[in-house]
Amino acid sequence: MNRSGQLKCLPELGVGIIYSPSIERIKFPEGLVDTLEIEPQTLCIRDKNDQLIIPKEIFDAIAAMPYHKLVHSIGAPVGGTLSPAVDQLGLIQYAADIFKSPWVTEHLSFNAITEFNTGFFLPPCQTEKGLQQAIANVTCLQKAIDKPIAIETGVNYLRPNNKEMPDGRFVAELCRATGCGILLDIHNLFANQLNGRQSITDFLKAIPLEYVVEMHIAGGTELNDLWLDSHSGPIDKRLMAITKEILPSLTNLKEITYEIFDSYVPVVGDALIISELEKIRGLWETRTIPYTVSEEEQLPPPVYHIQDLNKAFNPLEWEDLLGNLVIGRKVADRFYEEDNRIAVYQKLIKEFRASMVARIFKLTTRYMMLVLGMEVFSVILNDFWKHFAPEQLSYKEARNFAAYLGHKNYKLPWLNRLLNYEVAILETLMDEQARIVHFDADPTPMFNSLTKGRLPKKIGELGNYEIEITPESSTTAWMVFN
Amino acid sequence: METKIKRKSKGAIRLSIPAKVAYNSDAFRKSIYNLLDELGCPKCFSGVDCYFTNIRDYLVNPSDLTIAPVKEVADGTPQPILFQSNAKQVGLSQNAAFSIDKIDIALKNIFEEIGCLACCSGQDIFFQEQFSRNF
Repeated sequence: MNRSGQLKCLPELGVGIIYSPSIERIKFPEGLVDTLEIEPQTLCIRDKNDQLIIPKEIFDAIAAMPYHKLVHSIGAPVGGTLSPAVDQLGLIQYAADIFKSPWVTEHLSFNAITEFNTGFFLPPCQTEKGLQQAIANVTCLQKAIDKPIAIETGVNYLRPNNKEMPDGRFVAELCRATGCGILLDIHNLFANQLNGRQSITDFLKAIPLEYVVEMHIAGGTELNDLWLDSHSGPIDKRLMAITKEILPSLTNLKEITYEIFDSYVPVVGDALIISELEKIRGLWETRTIPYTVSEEEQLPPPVYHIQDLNKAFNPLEWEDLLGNLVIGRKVADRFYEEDNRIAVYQKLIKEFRASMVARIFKLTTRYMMLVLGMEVFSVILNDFWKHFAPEQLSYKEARNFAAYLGHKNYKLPWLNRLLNYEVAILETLMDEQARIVHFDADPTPMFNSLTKGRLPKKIGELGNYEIEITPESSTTAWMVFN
Repeated sequence: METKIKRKSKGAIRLSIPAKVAYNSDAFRKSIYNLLDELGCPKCFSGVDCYFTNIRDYLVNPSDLTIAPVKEVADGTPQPILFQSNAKQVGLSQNAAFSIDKIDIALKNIFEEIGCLACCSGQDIFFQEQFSRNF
């Protein structure tokens, strides 16, 4: 059977949602959600030897949940020169097996160069050499994983370069060369069109539609006149309309997944998430019925913001240039130097990195913001980012920030006390060893006040205090991938 | 609740807290996965993470915290409001009026003047005056 025939035989999985703990606690009406899409890398950490480890019982618990499951990998993107790591391939196969995932999806992007992680998915080098690189990566995944692979169409905030392939052709050639399926992220295409790249219509004309097995749909937000793929909740009504229009042409579509990012769940609330899923359920149920977008649902006419760079990058050169630029490092190449699209990437990466640190060092970051003010704290963060490249894992980013503050040795009254405490908590969570942290005053008034978003009116009583941080009482069985 | 009551240990007052409870006061209700979800690899994402912004706005004015604000924009599509306190929001871009060198010096000078006292929260008028003067 040829590859497209293999994709036709995949089962229909209906309506899905990206899985996370905040999604798990939402009480969905029965029959609204058929499938959970799981990103296995978000369940993993690395041990002291930097080996990838997973808590086996968590995979077992998710596998037992009464939904279909799909594996959506974020650890072996196929758009860059770094080949998928062996441990990542082992994890993807393990997840695909335990979740009985009929197919596996991965990103047509890159998120690391040789020297550092970019902290963000970045667009591939869309030249002939870049295509050959992506073909080699997809082939590597197909050989290692015994499930059909589908690649996700990415968002790209850059203006198209006149020497690169149009987005649709790049995906089409990759599919035809490897036989991989397509995870059509319709919100990414929507953002690309609004931001001056290829229109959804032209993209769909270019790709073999029978290869589309899955669709992602999401809400976005605007920033600096760009439409962002924020997974922020409400789906734009123009996107809903155009999706309805194209669905009948996707004759091999097996599933539609709604993407929402964790940070937005409390912002938009459960009711909105349920209502968006009901709309997607409607899309799924009526997917074969023709629909024409009305005048008021029309997108603005496509405007192609092509820039005449007149340069066909090779993949390494492209990744080095873009990777360094988006994390704020100077590069010798003048291309993109003043580009406001690069500035958007920089801002998004900064917000992402700040959020990683603030999630883990909740007390320390609040304390610094309250005592020093937001502007001073921002300057300190910016200085930290200059000295440390992004990390892929949040706890590593947090450790780097602790190292940075340790080097600075700021003598703010409670900074080191709070930081030492939170570092001890982090380390105990990671290695399950008990630790004792000493205080020269009762820290509880400070903890309680910071939790409520303020500094204490009165400091705790002076004296010799200790907090013993103890590991989990249950023993977690970790599985090692190497 | 897994947190043990304070007890005496070699003259010190000791509080014993499981790490997952200490990490997040709600964490004792959560499984280890909830923690992994924050400690490990963030989810696939190519937009703006609002976590830091929400915390920042919360600290600017905790009494003004309003979760679930969905704004109707001009084209009729609702969007979550990212920035609650635009007037006070400074973003993460560098402000030319502030430099890391000035901050380093200001904090060093404060330490030389007042030390690193546990009895000083940082909010104290004395500290804030010193900080403003040195900055």
